[in-house]
Amino acid sequence: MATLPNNLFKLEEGQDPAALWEQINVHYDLEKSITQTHDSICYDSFDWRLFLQGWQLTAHNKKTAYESGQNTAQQTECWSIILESVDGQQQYARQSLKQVPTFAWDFPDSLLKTQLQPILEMRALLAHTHLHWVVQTWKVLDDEQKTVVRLQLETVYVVGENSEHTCLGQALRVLPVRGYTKALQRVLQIIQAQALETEQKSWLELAWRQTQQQPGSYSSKLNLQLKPDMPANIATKIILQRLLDTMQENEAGTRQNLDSEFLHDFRVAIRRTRSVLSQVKGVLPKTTVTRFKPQFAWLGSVTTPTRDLDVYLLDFDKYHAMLPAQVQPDLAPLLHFLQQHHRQAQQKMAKTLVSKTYQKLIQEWQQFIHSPSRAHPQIPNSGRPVIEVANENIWKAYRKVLKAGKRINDDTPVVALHELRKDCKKLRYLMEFFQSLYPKDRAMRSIKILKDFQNILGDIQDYFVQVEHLQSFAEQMVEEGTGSSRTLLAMGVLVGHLLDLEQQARTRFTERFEIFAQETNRHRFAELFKPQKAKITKVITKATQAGGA
Amino acid sequence: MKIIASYSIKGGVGKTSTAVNLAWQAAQEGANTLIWDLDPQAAASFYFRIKPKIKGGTKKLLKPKSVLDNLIKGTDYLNLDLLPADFSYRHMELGLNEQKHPTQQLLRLLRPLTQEYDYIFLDCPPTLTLVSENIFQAADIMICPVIPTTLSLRTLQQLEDFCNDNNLKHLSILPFFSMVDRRKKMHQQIIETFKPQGLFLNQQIAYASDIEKMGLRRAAVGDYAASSQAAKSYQSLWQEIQQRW
Repeated sequence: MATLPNNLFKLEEGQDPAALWEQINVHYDLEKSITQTHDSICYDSFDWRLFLQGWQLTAHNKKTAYESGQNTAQQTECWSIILESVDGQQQYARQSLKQVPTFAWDFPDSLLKTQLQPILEMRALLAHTHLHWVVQTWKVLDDEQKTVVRLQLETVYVVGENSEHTCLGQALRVLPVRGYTKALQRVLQIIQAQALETEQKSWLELAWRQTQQQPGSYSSKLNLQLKPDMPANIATKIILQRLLDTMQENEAGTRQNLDSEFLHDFRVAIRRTRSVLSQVKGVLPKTTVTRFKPQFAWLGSVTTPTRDLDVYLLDFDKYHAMLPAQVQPDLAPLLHFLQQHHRQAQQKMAKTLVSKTYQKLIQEWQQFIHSPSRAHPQIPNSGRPVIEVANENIWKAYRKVLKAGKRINDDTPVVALHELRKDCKKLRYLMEFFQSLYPKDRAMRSIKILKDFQNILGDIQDYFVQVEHLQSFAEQMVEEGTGSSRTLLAMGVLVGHLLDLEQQARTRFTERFEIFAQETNRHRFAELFKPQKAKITKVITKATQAGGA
Repeated sequence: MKIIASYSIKGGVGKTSTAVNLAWQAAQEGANTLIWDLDPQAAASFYFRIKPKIKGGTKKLLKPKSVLDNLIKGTDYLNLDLLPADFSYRHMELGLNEQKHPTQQLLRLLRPLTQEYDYIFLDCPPTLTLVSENIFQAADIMICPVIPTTLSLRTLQQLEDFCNDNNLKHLSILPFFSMVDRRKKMHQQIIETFKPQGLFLNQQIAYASDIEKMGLRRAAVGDYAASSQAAKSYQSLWQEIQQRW
């Protein structure tokens, strides 16, 4: 059905459209058609991937399929799922299904699936807004009694969690009939002459206002706005508060296992918190650091088994594809094993996340963040401008990475590469914490350079860990009596393949490190992060040397 | 997207009512549907209360850069549009003859619409001319209403021969018995004779006053007589057709 922009006219509360019908009746016949009620439920991922793409996904259940008043309403069990632009002007894909699948991969093969999959990836579709519509259609007829314009009197309710309906208002929608432009213009003129204003917001926007939802509000990125001269202890608490918010935002989804990204983001926030505690030196009271560091390490560790299994489940298709076709079916028991252990690990983790220990930790952590920040002589960096502390920490971490990287050659044991990977992660987190203190483009460029280098280290580590895990899974499966010899052989083939991949990744290390450590990049890092004091000393040294010469 | 022609060499067999009611059924099920009234008698346009006129007539329509988009009219039903007939369609044969690829013109005109519509129905004039050849080239499916009489069956045979002779293998021909009068012995006999061959669709459309009333009501049967036998028959006919491709 074609729609035109701004075709929705606001009706004030209690306003009777009868006066308008009378005016239209002067020129055209009006026929009241049936009143339809239907529900529409809008879906998006927790991190609003569709909205950020400019899309909206809505499932409509229409109770009446026929338009004519003489028809009996036809009940349909189907949801018509429509992917369209946020303004509803462009439709990208449509599909009718008995229910809305949770994941893009659960959709039957279709254009809709092809569109959704690369955007949603592993994220679940969650219902964010439920609207209930009562729509009365009026047909504007010409002298042949032919419909030339349709008018819809819409009353829309937002449906809450306990099915409570809140009325969003009433509006008149003008729907053109193709090929009858003159009639459309005329009807629009009549409506405008009645001083009806166009409703600029869509029903969805009105619903968001009512439910106080902010689409696009969640992001796993830090998106902080720190000021360079801010005291370091205050800036650090802003970072910690943001990380705690992220943990809390993801906690319910993690517990309920809505999708694997909740746990992922939850864990990243824990890791970042631990990184603040250990990497941002001399800013927080020592007692706080010693008290909370082991507690967040514990929180991280209780979530590890579930995440590890998540990764295997997400990558299972990839493993499957690594094997020759005739061996692929032998891997099925591994999938079963992973699913079963995932269920157990998830249950155990969910229990921990409602435990008193966990709640106490979060509560006390919150208390610390909210406690007043005072500079203290025994905490040397607490009152210094954050830019200085950021520079010092980032520069130090960067130099550590450079030094360690230079020492690595083809014979270096893999453990050194893992240490380097950890150092890079620490550097990356520091850069991200303080990103807003630096010119945006240059900070992002430096992060990109580091990220490219991290990728190779990540690959080496991932293949290594995957091999270790597969070996341990195999042992467990033998113990549990769930691994047949064929399955173990298939896993062996997989291990061989992963070892090859690890080896190939290692051969690429030197080349990647050289890019990371090349002069232009070193210069870039120094310009951004090298502490001022060091720069001045260098200038003085240079001047002295020049003078001496 | 499928292009479905409702066609018979013989007139008065229920072509237009078939095209109109099946297109209505498809639109009711949510498919974007277009019906092109190619018959200069303009019965389909009349049923939908749309003036049988297109701007510039056949002459403009067949110009190399012409597009159908601006000529389409919305009907009284959601998802259902109509491309009206025009009295000048009676000269279409002549116009087509002047073109470079005279049998491909309808297909050329319809191609840009394939993105927009799920189904395009062609309500065809009862002839076997260059216009029909264009229809055969454009359509994926040809639904042929056949009255169970000797004369009607003869025309079906003529049509099949024509398609075989002209290498129209892409076209699937789906005949069904139309305007069946159960009281007539000959109708019954013919239907029984053809049953074992599976050539005809199972669903028949019986002669019904509800269908005749279309001219009076100017609407699809399913709209004004939803629970009638006729409406149900068209609904099952549409289901059966969908199962056949």
